[in-house]
Formats: sequence, structure tokens, C-alpha cells
Amino acid sequence: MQSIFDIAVGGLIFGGLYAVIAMGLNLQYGLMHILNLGHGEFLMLGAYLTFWVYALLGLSPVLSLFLSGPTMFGIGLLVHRTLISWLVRKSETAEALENNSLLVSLGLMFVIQNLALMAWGSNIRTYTYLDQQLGFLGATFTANRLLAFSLAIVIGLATYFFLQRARLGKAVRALMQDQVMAQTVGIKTVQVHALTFAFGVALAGLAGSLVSMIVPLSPFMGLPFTIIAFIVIILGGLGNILGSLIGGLMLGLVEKLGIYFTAPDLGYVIIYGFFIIVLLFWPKGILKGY
Amino acid sequence: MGNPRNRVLLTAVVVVALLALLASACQPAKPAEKQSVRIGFVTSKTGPYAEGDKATQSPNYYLWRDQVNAKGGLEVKGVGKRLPVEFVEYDDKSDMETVVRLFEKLITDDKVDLVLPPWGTAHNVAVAPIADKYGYPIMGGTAIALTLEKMNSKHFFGLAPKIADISQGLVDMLLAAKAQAPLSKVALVNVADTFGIEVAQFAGPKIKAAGFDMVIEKSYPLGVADLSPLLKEAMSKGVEAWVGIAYPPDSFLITKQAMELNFNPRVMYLAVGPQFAAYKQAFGANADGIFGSIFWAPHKAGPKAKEYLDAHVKAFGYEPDRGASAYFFASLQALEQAIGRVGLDRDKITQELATKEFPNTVVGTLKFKNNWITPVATTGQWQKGQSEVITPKEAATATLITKPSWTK
Repeated sequence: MQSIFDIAVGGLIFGGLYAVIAMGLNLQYGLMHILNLGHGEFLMLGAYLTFWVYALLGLSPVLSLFLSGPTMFGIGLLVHRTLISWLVRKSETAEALENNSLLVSLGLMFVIQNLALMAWGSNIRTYTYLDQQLGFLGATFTANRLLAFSLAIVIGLATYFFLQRARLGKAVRALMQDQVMAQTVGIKTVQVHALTFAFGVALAGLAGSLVSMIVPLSPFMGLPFTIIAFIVIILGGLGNILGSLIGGLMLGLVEKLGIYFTAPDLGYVIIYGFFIIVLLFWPKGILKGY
Repeated sequence: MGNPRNRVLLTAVVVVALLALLASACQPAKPAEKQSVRIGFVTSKTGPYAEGDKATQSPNYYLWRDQVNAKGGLEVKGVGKRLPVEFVEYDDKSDMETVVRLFEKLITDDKVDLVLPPWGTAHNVAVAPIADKYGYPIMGGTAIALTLEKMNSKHFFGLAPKIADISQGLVDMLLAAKAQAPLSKVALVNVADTFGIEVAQFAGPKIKAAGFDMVIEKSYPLGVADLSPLLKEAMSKGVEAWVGIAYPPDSFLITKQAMELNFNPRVMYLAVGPQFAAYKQAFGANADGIFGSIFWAPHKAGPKAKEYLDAHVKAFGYEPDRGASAYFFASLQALEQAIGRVGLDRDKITQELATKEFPNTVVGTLKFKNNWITPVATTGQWQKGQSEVITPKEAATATLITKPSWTK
């Protein structure tokens, strides 16, 4: 009989990935009120990048993180420079920006999906890396999952501490708390916005690279992760990065344990049910966003 | 000029003039001469079904059209010259509402001459009533559902095995494996989509009745990202036969994750997926021993089969799948023959498909009995890099083998 511990750890592993995906989205929303429905597509791009680098050059997925992170950061800067800053200029209120970004990012989602489809076809791609089984405390785990989890936690904590301690990180938080005051003390809004957006995209790409070790790839793999990311950021508190970390882990745990005790086809029911229950008691999320 | 009589006269003249204009516009225009045969279809170019469609269905449509048009077009009875085939196509994004809406649009708005089916059981079940309503014959190859059979549709022709046959083929395969060496613990796992649900509902009781111990009977949502908990459960319960009524995204996922966990059941059956060229490409030698539904053994199906396989590779860069592809292509060859025999009258074509035989197709002679193709392979297996048919006995090209352990 499978141990609960086995299932729980499995849930935390996926939860770590959910956390990284959500943190990127949270930075974009918390800071700039940009609702990016295309977030999962950047995850997909990161995943494909790691796949191709592994398939064509034999480069390990861990090393490819150093490739996918900066590449996706660059793509994020490009998207911000062209699409996002135009949106921000056009939107007169924060609410208008939210609505506009929702629509525009929906279009972006389809564009990226179909570009990927045209470039790489709809064939499902998969590769094996570190698929040895490791066992401890009565549970067995595939090495690549443990690796993905550890890296996700490292990235998550690094992001959190960056925001807490680094100068740029504090600037981001200042802008999140009070844009006008932050500008008053000399924080360059536009630059910080661009860097933050790009960083959010980079996080999605990194999550994609990690996820590519575990799940098969297709141009359409992004949307389910976008949906999870949205759930996690609201669950953890909009704008609260630690909330996304904790919320992601919790969601992964609840999902896998819930499936274990009920049935796999209730997966989404459990996720959404948990989401609804949390919001009923903590409408602003577990760690109360801004 | 206020003379009332003048005004009445003027009004009368205007009215008569308008009526004359109206009358002339109502005259039947001289019918334009038919320049092409317009065939419409809605397939899943994007979304979770896209993989399935690209591997098994729409490439055949294009291959057939190009081959036909290279000859100058279709021979149509009653028309002196050949008419080229023109496609009117849409993407349903793997979405139910979209496929229904666009399918109806093809018929009522685009007014196509004929239609080809969408991908997947769920979509075929949805459009079959529409095809019936407007009298359009449609031959569906990726459609296996009791609901479809119960419709007794006059215009829907099934190119895939019936649910009862697929389930029987499954059970026969399990019994054959049991005859080779004792086998009792079975896991029946299905994707929660029309196809998966119906086959599992039908096959479950049959498997139990055949004396197997069903230790797991569960389903999972389409597009699931992780099935390792289920696989781990199967391992801990000592499952010897994994019967997965799975679709392409999950059949790939199950194979990959089973390899990672080193889960080596004697029988691994994945309904839709192993037949694809992409599956063999992804898993190489590890595809050996995997079972799938339908299957087609081109290396044992005659020269026409090899010709078709080579043409497919030349046109698209990959082989047709070892499942529905050949039947789709054969159905188009049958359609071509039917149009040559009876012309473009849809009722006559439907009648022809229902009652006559169509020789020289890539699957041999194609024939429908009560609107379902007969005979058709129900279970197959990869053996030494070749696809073999295992059930039914009369169509089998090889005996089944035990799945070798995964090689890494």
C-alpha cells in the first residue's frame, strides 16, 4: 500500500513547481496589475528550449536553466517594451489596465501557441533525464522530480530574498505598496516595471525547464499551468510573494492527497473546491495580499 | 403640382415598375457550371486533440486530394470531365461547441457537396445527428462509442471497430496472454472522455467475467499532467496487465512515467497512442511489446499498403499511424469510387456506401455491413519494430509476446 508520506511528498514536489510559476505571475500582477493569460506559454517556451538543447546538444537540463532563464528574461523585456508599455500608456485606470491586459494576453497566448505549433508541430515530445529511483523513509522518487523540486525551492527562496534584501527588490516592493510615494523617492517606475515583468517571464521559463523533465511537452501544455498560477496567486494573496510560495506548496499537497483519497478524475474538483473554501474564509488569500 | 389624379398615376407607375423589377430578379438564374467538388471538414488543428488528428486523420485528406487532383480531379458520373477536389476547412480547437457550430456552417452556409469527419469519438457523436439531418454521408474513423451505434444513423458510417468488438478484442488478448503464462491482476484505467468512458464501461464487466482480478478501476481527466500516483499504486498492488483506455497525451505520459518508475507489467495496453509514428520515435525499442487498439500491419497488407506508406512519408515526413490512418485513406478511395459510379447525389452516394463493395483500397476491399466496416483489426502490438495485428483471430498477423523490460 502506498504510504501517505509518498503521496504527500509527491504533492510537495508539484507544489514547488506551482509556486515558481505563480511567483512570476504574482510579480506581474502585484506590481503592475497586468493579468497575463499568456504566462503558461512562456513556461512552454522554456520547456521546449530545454528539450531542444538536450536533444540536439546533449546539454543537461540543469545547465540549460542558465540558458532558459536569461533567454526568457530577454523575451520578457521585448514583450514589455512592445506590448505592455503600450497597454500601460493606453489604460487610464488600474482597472482598465487589468481588463485590457486580460484581453491582449489572451491574444498573445494564441499567437505563441500557434507559433510553437508551426515551428515544432503538435507531436508530443519527451526525453529521459535522471530517471533513477531514489528511496528514503519508505517512499520512492524519481531523481528528476527531486531535482526539480529542490531547484524550484532554491529559485523561490532566491526570489523572495531578492525582494526582501536587494535594492532593486525593495524598489519593486515599494512600487507595489505605493506607486506615487515610490516615485517621489526617486525610484524609476518604467525601468523597474520592465525588469519585473521580464523577471516574471523568466520565472515561468525556468519553471518550464524544470517541468520538462517530468511531463511530456506539447504546444498546448501551457494553459493548465496558467490556470494553476492564477489560482495560487489568489490563494496566497495577490502581490504577496511568500504567499505564492506557500500557496503553491499547499495546492500541490491538497491536490495529490485529495486525489489519493478520492479519485484521479476529481483532480480539478479538488483544486477548485479547495480554492473556494479558502476564499470563503480568507477572501484576500492566505497571506492577505495588497 | 397637387393634382391628385397625377399623383395616383405616378404611384401606380412606380409600383408596376418595382414589381417588374422584382419579377425579373426572381427568374431562376442559369445554373453555373460545376467547376469542382467542394468537400468540407472541421478538424482539431489546435488543442489537446491536435496530436491525434495530425497523426491519424487530416494528413490523409490532403494526400488523397493531391493524388486525385494530380490525375485531373474526380471522375463524376453524369459530368463529362474530371472535377478537381476543393477543400473548405476549419479548426475546431478541440472544442465541442466549435465543431458543432462550424460543421453545421459547412452544410448550411458554405453549402459544400460532401463532408469529412472531425477527430475523436466525442466530436463524431456530436456531428452525426447533423449529418443525418441534412443527409450528408460521413465516414468516421476515430469514433468508437455505444452512443454512436445506438443512433442507428443512416448517414454515419463507422470505420473503427464497434465498442463490443474492441472490448472483446481486449479480453481475447488478455486471455491469450493468460494462456501463455498465469495472469490475474488487471488495472483498468481510462481517460474521462466519451471514448474512454464508454469502452471502460463495456470492457470492465467483460474482463471480470473472464475471471481476471480487477484490482484498480479508475479514470483521470483529459490533459492530466501526472499519473505517477496511479502507476505507483499499480506497482504496489502487483498489477500484471495495465489496460489503459487512453488518448495520445496520456498514453505518452503513462509510457514515460512507467519507464521512470520501472513499472513492467506483462501487458501494457494503451488504446490510442502507440499506433502513432511519433510514439515509435519517442520511445524507440521500448515501444516493443506495447498493445494498442485497431492497428494495421502494412508490411503484411499488400503492395498498395506499402505504396500508401511511402507516399505519406514523402508528403509529410512521417509514417501514417498504424491505426485509423489507413482506414481513412481507404474510405476516401471508396468515396472516389462511389462518386464515379453514382455522381454527386448524396442520397445515391449514401446508398452506394451502405450496400456495395470497394476493391483496391489500402486495406483491401472495403465493405460496410449495417454501416459499420467489416472486418477490422481490434488489437495490435509492436513487435521488433513492426506493427502486428493480434485480434481478431481472422485478421491476426502474429501471436502476442510478453512485454520486454524497459531498456534505458
